[in-house]
Formats: sequence, C-alpha cells, structure tokens
Amino acid sequence: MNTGIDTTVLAIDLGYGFSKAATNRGRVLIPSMVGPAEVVRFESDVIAENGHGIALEVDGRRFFVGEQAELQSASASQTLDVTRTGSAEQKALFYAVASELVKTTDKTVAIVTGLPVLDFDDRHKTSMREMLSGEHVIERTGKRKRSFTVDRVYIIPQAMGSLFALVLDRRGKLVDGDLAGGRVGIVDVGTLTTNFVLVDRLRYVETGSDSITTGMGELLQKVAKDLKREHELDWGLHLGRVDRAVRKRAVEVRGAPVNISGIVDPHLEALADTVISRARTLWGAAADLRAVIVTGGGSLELVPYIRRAYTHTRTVGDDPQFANVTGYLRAGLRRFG
Amino acid sequence: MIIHVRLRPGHDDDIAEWYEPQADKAAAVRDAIRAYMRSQNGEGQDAVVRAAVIQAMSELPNLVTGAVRDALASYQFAPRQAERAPGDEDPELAARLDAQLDDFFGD
Repeated sequence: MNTGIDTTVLAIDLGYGFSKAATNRGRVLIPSMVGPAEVVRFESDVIAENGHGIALEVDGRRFFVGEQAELQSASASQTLDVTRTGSAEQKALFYAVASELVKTTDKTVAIVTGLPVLDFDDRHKTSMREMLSGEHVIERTGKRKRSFTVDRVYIIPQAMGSLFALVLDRRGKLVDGDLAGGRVGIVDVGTLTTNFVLVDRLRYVETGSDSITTGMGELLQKVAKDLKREHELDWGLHLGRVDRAVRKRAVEVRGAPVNISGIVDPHLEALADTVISRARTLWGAAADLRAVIVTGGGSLELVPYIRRAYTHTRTVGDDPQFANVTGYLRAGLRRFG
Repeated sequence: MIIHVRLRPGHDDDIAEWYEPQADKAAAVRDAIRAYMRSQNGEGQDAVVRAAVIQAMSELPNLVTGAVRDALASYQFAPRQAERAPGDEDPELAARLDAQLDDFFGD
C-alpha cells in the first residue's frame, strides 16, 4: 500500500532518555526531559538566551522540553515512568520532535514508532495510537504554527528497528541478505529498559524476545550517587550531565579534571552481567544465531562486555541511538515511500 | 530357406555354449556365417574384427541413449533459480519481510 506523495513518513522513538525522530528530510534528537512551563518565572528570558529552547502547548498546558527543561532542573522531570505511554508529557515530546521535522506545508503524516517488547500489547498500542492519531496543532514559541493530521500509526517492537536499519537501505530496499537470511538476536540497551528480540529470517519470534526494566538510567543514577558521595557533585536530577561524564569518564571538580573510571566501570560490569544473564536465559550460548546485534544509546559502553560472552556480537555503527528510528523510517518508506 | 544344423554332443559343445544365450538366435547364426564367408573370401581376421566393431559402434548411440534415459527416469531436477542482478532483493526474503510488515502494520 502506498499512502501517496502527500503523506510524510515520520519515524519517532520516544525513549526514556532521549527522543529521536526522522523523516527522509532529516532527523532530530532531544533529551526526554519535560517540565511545566508555568513554574518558570522568566520564560521569555530563558528562551531568548537559549536559542534552541523548546516551549510548546499540549492540550491547553504549556511545557518546556529537552535541554530547556533540563536547565529548569527543579521543575523538570525525566519521565522515567513505565506507565507514561500516551501521557501529556509524552505528547509534549512528540510535539517537540514533530515541530522540528514536519513542515508547515505537510498536511498528512504517517507515523512509524516502537514499543518495548513487554509493552507490545493491545493496551499500550491503543494508548500510543490514541495519543498520536488525529489532528494536531503545534504552537511552539519562536516557530510557525503547524497543523497536520496523523492518519496512520504503525507500531513495531523497538529493537526490530535496528535490524531494519541494517538490512534495508534508505529507500527501504532489502540490501543485506546475509543478515536478513539468518536467526539474529538483538539487544537494545535503552535508558530504562533493555529489549531482547529474536528474529528468524526477518520474522519476529515472540518466544525468544523479552524486556527487562534495567538500562543505562539505573547506571547513571548509581554513578550520580557515587559522584555526590565522593566529589560532592549533586547531579541526581541532571542525568544528561552524568551521561556525558560517563562517556568521557571524567568530571571537573573545583576546576580540576578528575578521572571517574573507577566509579563507572564496576557499575557497567554489573549492568552487563544482568543483560548477559537475561540473554543467556533466552538464547543460551546463541550458537545458532548468525549474529548478536547490540544497539541503543547504552550499547557503545556495553559492547566490550557483551562481546566477551558472544564473540559474534555486531554493532549498528557509530550512532546506535538513532538505529531504531532509522529502521522505523526505512520500514515505513518501504511500505509508503 | 530353413537350414537345420545338428550339434553333436562332445564335438560341438563350444558352439552350443555360444548359441544358447543368444537373444536373436537366427540373426546370430546369420552373422556368424557371414563372418566365416568373409574370412573364406580372403578377408583377414582384422577385417572381421573391424566389421564387428563398426556394427557395435553403429548401435552405440541407441545403447547410450537408452542407458541415460533409464538412469534419469527417477531423477528430480530442482527448478533453476532465476538469476538476480547485483543489488536485487532476494525474492523469498523480501516476501518474508513484507509479510512481517503486514503483521506489524496491520492493514
């Protein structure tokens, strides 16, 4: 089926750590931070100082989203809440990414998105569809109003997007027959959840798939706790800063650089043990799998540990945060492009 | 014309031994007589052997064709896969992918 040339395919991945979106014209990533704008006293000043602040209205309520919300710390919240599917905060994230990518001339939009394996059920799909479907009017400070209709919402298990990103080209054509023709395990390390998906020659195998509510968010909170105890850095509400510190393995304390590998590595090892343990329960030694693909925002840190357990581990490139949304887009373009 | 030949036990046992298994006994006897006649008319043993070989060779194509036909009678040939140009999708995998997207997309 083809929705026609007037429909824009918008792929979105509203993750607990970051929200990602893409069309065939571009892509965007923002921290999944949402704060009510009404509690910020000098909203207009904040927006003026920070050119990329996102302030918008959702169902009559105003929100700050992304970096702007993070700057408003006390009032902002990273929505680490498994019941948030369909919430106003999630809709604010949707509006934030859509206001970047949907053009003012776009009238009809088809959305391809994903849900964690554990939430891949009718209830969560319905909540997601209800939130995304229908007519939308996005009023965002500093941007022209956008009005469009989402007439289709397609939902797939999150980690499948990464496989589609590997086996499909940018037009949705099947190009990697080797990987597509085998049994493949995918480990998608997110902020709050880690998804395990088993695929047999491109068909989703539910019995070999699962989610666990463990991810980089838990690690970041533990590191934040240690940073407060050892270096008096009170970053418990600034997980974005902790995330950057973990990647660099360094912080600055009273003007001096400090290596934090000793704090980070033990927590990473513990997280890797949990992830590998679940993978072993699902796939054993994975000897009959052509590859174990590790993806998601936390994958770059965990790949060295997972590769010790599964030597046929493969990554999805240098930008694993975008792998799922890239795959959603390619699957959508295959069908509707 | 019908020629009757009597084989004497103890003297013509070698002929009897050759004659018995011949499938077409009349033709075998005729060929044997002609071979004898050629040798009597001055053709050497080589000419007899050459004639026999030419005869056998003329039957060879039918013999080989029959043997090959019998051997292949129960052989199942796999249909030849259509060759794909570089960059073309594997049709079977593409069909599986589209079926999976049908399941996910549901329409």
